[in-house]
Amino acid sequence: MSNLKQKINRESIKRTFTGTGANKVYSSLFCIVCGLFIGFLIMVVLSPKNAPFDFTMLITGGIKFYGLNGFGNILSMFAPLLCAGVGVIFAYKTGIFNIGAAGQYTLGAFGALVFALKLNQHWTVCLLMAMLFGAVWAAIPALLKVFCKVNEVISGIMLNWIGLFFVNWSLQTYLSSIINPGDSYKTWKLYVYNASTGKYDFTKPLISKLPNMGISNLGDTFSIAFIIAILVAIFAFILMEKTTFGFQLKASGYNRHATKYAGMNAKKNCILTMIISGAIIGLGAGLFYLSGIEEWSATISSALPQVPWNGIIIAFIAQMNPIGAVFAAGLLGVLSTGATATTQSVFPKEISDLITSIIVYLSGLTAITMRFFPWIKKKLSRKKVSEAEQPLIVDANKGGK
Amino acid sequence: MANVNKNTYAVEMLGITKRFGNICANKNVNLRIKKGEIHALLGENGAGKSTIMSILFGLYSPDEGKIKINGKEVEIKDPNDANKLKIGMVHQHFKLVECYTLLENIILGKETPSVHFLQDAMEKDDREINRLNILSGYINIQKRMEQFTKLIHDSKTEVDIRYNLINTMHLTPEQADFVLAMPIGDLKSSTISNNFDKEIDRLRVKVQAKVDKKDSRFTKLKRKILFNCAKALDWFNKLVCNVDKNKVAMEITEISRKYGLSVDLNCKVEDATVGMQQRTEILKMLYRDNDILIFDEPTAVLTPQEIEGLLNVMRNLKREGKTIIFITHKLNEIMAVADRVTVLRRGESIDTVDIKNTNVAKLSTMMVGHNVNIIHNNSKKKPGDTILKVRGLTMFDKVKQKNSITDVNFNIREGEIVTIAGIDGNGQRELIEAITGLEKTKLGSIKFKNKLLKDGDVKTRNALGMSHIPEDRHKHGLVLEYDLKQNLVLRDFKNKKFSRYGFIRKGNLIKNANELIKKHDIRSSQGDTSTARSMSGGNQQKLIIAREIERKPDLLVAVQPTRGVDIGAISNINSKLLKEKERGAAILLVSFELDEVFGLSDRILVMHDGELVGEFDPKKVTRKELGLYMSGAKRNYKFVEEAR
Repeated sequence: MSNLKQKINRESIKRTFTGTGANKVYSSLFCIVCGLFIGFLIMVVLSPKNAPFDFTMLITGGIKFYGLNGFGNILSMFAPLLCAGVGVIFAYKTGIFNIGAAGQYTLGAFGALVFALKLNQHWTVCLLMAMLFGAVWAAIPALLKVFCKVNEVISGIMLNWIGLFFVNWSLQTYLSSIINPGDSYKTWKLYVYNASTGKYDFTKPLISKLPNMGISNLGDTFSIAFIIAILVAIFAFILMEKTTFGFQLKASGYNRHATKYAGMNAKKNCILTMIISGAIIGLGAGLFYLSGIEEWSATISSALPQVPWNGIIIAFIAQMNPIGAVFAAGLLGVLSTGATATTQSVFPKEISDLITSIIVYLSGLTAITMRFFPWIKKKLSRKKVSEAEQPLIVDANKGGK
Repeated sequence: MANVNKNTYAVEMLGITKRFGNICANKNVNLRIKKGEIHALLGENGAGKSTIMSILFGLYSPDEGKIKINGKEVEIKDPNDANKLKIGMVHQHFKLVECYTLLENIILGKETPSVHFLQDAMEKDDREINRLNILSGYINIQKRMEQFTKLIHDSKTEVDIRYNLINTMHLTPEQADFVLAMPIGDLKSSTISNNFDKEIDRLRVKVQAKVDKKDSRFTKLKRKILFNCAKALDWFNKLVCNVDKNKVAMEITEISRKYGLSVDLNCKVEDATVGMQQRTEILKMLYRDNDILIFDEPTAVLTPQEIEGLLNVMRNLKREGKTIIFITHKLNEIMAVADRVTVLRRGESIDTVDIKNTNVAKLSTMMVGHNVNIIHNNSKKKPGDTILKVRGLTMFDKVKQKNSITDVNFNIREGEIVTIAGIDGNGQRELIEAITGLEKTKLGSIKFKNKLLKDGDVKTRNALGMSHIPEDRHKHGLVLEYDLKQNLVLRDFKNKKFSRYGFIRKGNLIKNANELIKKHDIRSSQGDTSTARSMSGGNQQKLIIAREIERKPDLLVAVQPTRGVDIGAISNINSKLLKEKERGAAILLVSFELDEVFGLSDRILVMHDGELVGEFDPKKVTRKELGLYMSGAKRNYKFVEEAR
């Protein structure tokens, strides 16, 4: 009996390291290492002298430069990235490509900021409003898809820009009071503003700023956000893998016809998925702007925020696994923080974007790398077997009629 | 002597092995086919018949082994190589351009002009050569289009164009006038000619590369390409060369008369019957002077009468010295027509025997590996109450812009197996989709257990106890990425047994899976965790049947439940259906195999062109009679509403 148990244990361990899941991890790691290497080569080409030092700076997230504050920065970058990634993954599992993530993120940010700065609400209310705004914005392409058969990619991209211009227009007109008087195009910082001195009182954060759980030595931006984000990822994982709802969602992502055959409600599922996806992405926006890393800059010409796009990148690096997204978001958090610590005169900040995009390009080839690993294994094992096998083949040829 | 011996074989395939991933489709297969014989290739579905023939036709390349044609070792890389070696194939699904006539389909794609065409042409003047080239397969179409485009560009006036058309393009004055009658703006605009040029170029490459690939993923693309190509060629045809098809037509008529292949050459494919389409495919091979003809399951789509005709054609072909390879799993056809037969089982060639020295029983034992008992419906159970009522059901096909089924009326009672017989594509699929709620109906009503069913409401049907074994198990029946235990609860996952508070009860799923695996003998590599994709077709089918039967349905809709399943499993599945009947379930069966229709049904309904045309008791009707109804030659169906 104990023998059997051992056997099962050994087998299950073996499976975790050799199964398709493990292959996915290997191929992702492979892409990441290759991407980093190519990035390093580019840095060497740009400046051979500074490359080694700045590359270490980049991949350590600038810890050396920023110290503990840097770690706080990484964590607060990580939270919104993770939310955006999980949101995209959630929709993708159902067969919907949520390219409208940027729009939902924008609206989420809008919701969070209006309730934080204009109405001065508690941060929980602000986060809930961010989720609500994101969900509503995500529901629009879902409804269009289900009832009018409009492709969600097209409507999603349109809504990105509609959302952005709506938010910027709002902030500059009837909501102009939440624009920072000292900095005429950015919103307030999340601290009490002293109108008489024209300065912020950095000892008094607003109630809408995310709490830092009493840990103050990790910098101003450090907050509870990363815990919320990880909980969201776990929540998404459980929802997808353990519930009947997830069972239906994934089934309709894999095979739409079979869900219809089995009597599942495809339309309802589609709308629900998008709403959840949008809510998670909106939450990410809330976590980003309420931790005070950046303020929203409401100029008309401003581009769509970068985080949701990185969310799509994370989704692909994580190969559509919410738990994988935790690590992918960590990587992107490290890289984007590290990029700000490199020698700015030699390497542009965009070097991290460059590396992540190389990784994504390579992970676009995961189908190949996924095959690559079993293939190598097979080649290796066959070499051993081939000597034993050869006489068999000869025999077989002779035996033919 | 050895030399002579070698030459008696038209095809030798020695030690062929072909692997797809971990699956070995052909293992050391040896196949020797004598010149001028009809050689049957017998085996269950999945025995590797189609694979070995695809290797011979150049669709796959073998991992090991060699192929000899007429004693010479050859390498067949693609269907073009096969064509050069005079190997032709009639595929199970025909490869014809729908909007073209049969004649045009026969000519189409013949890239090299046949020898006597050239010889003929040599004797005539240049102009004739050019026309004949076009005629015999549009050989230099690309080159000519380049010429033509350039010419149109260079010419400044209409007179110029006319002059050039006659002198450079070798057109007759009438043809040149025809070209000029086209709006001159169109001709001059570079976009049209350039696009056309590119289109032709692209299509030629694609068509050549893909026209014969059997991969179903390409089918749609292929159809589109063929359609575009045909359209383009048609356009070109009208524009520059008024092709005189009469000569080719006469030639083909001669061939068809010689072998008894009657076709109406001017009929369009979409209007032609399936039998006629098949004869067109055969003519296509003969027109290309192919000597080795492969027939891949040719009788699957034919009525009994048409099958008899086809077997006669095969005999005629043999008499003319053609070598025929006949793939099938129907033993009586082999006994009727073949000279020798090679039996394949699980990818291996078991034996090659003379038909004279064998019989049906021996062959079937060889094919399956053990004795087969054929299931018959001997049940004495009397049918109970009416459970399904279909009244005036009409459906509309948006693509074809006509009714796919028209005014269908019938009843099914408890404990009764009703079979819809008919040739594939006569509305059976649409009828089933309507009953199972997958498609919308136009008119009529479906009542199940006296409840009116709404279109597209599968949920209610589930709840009321309707099960459905779908025709296409990959499209409808399974989520291939899901594993065995998940696929087993695809319909019932919301059942209390399998989920609680919205959470899946994984333990119960595993328990359920292991029970059903044991009960229904579902084999897979990793038990309940093996993905449906990794399972063989037969076991996938077992999985679906296990799922649908275990729900204890009151109505079981089974569409070709034994398709692509080996013989051992067929009897297993059929006995399960009978057991369901004994339990009191009503069964609506759709089948194209007459053996199954006669073996299982209590009642046969024949469908032709979307209408029910006959109702029979299987004990009181002959196959021949049924065939006449299936082909639409006879019809006699009156639905009488039962008295209350």
